[in-house]
Formats: sequence, structure tokens, C-alpha cells
Amino acid sequence: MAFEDLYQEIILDHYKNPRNFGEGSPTCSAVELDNPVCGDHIKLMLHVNEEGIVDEVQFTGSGCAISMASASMMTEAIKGKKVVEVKAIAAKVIKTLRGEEPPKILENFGDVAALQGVIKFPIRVKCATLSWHALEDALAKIERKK
Amino acid sequence: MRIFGEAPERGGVISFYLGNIHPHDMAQFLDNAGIAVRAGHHCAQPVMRKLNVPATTRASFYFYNTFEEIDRFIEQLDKAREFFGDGI
Repeated sequence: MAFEDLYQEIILDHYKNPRNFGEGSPTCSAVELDNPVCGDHIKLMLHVNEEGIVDEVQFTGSGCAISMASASMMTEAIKGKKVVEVKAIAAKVIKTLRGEEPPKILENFGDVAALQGVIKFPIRVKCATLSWHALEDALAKIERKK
Repeated sequence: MRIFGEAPERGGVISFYLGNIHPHDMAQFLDNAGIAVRAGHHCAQPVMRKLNVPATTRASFYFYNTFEEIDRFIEQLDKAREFFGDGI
């Protein structure tokens, strides 16, 4: 049962058909992050407009199904949202994946809800959090630029 | 399917990479089918870089393994391919 929880159909769909996958426009801020333990790699490109809204988010990378699906779901969950809101979502998702918050919290963030199964597999948590850490790095980079 | 290692008198330890399936996904899939393999860098990152793979899956056969078990292993590899497709 736990295996099916980990690899839910939504996760496999995001893995096979990643959303917002590809290079972002030149105005984006880009960050790259690796998980040296498993060789996962993500490049996240983010743009925040004058109203403080994330109006563009794209990613490229390679890695396991969990890491790529998580990145794809993340882009959908944050696009069109205000930076303050995005920051709060990132912090909540990372905490929840680490088991520090009730899993149900993920249900507030669209398809990200499907990552609840990962919590039962401690060694796969890092796969799921990689893109979210990249998101935090990208937001910090954008803030420094201001 | 890429199989790594070409020594003429090799043992029953086989590292491989099937399609685009990440070894951690592969190992999880095989584990679910009751097959234990090791996946990752095997403490050999420089070799992984040289082979240009993020990690490998490693099956180790020994005298207690039966032909039936090996057939089941091959069968599950096909199933993993169906399950994960070609991914990213």
C-alpha cells in the first residue's frame, strides 16, 4: 500500500508530463541546486513583477520521479501568487514533508497534496524538498537584487 | 539498458541503468516486488561522473539465488519500464 501512496498517479503524471518545464525568459532570476546524495539537479527560473507577484516560473533538471514531480507541482502551486504568500507556502510544505506539521496541510496547495505519501519514506523526503529549497533560494536572490 | 563493467571474469554483481528511470525509483519499485537491490553512488561518485549517470542500480547474485528469482527480477524490470515510462 505504501508504495502506491508514494507513486500516486498524479505524481507519475507530473513526472511524465512536467508543467512549466523549460528555460524561462532572460528577465528571470535563476538558481541551480543539487542533491549530491542522489544526483538530482534542478534549475529554477523565477520572475516577480512590480506588484510582487510571481508571474513566471520555469524549471529544468533531472532526477527521480519524486523530485521532478514535486518541482512541477510546485510551479503550479505558486504561479500568479504574491511573494509573501509563496514564501509561506514554501516554508509550510518543507516543514510538512519533514513531518513537523500534519500531512493534511499539503491539501491546501493543489496537486502538492499527492506528496503526502513521501512523508512515510524518510530517505525520499529530500527528493521532494529539493525544488522547494530552490524556490527559497530564488526568492532570496530576487530580494537581494532589489 | 546500460550494464556497467566489462571485466571478462566478472562476478555476479551487476550495475545497470534502465531507460531514464532513476535508480532510486527503480530500487523502490523492485523493493515493492520483494527484490532487494542497492541504488545510488555506491561510494564511487568519480565513477558515476565518468559514466555520466546520476547513480546506478546494482543487483548482486549469489549461490542462494535461483533461476526463478532471476526470471522474476527481469519481469519486474519490464514492469518498471511500463510504470515509469521514459520520464524526464
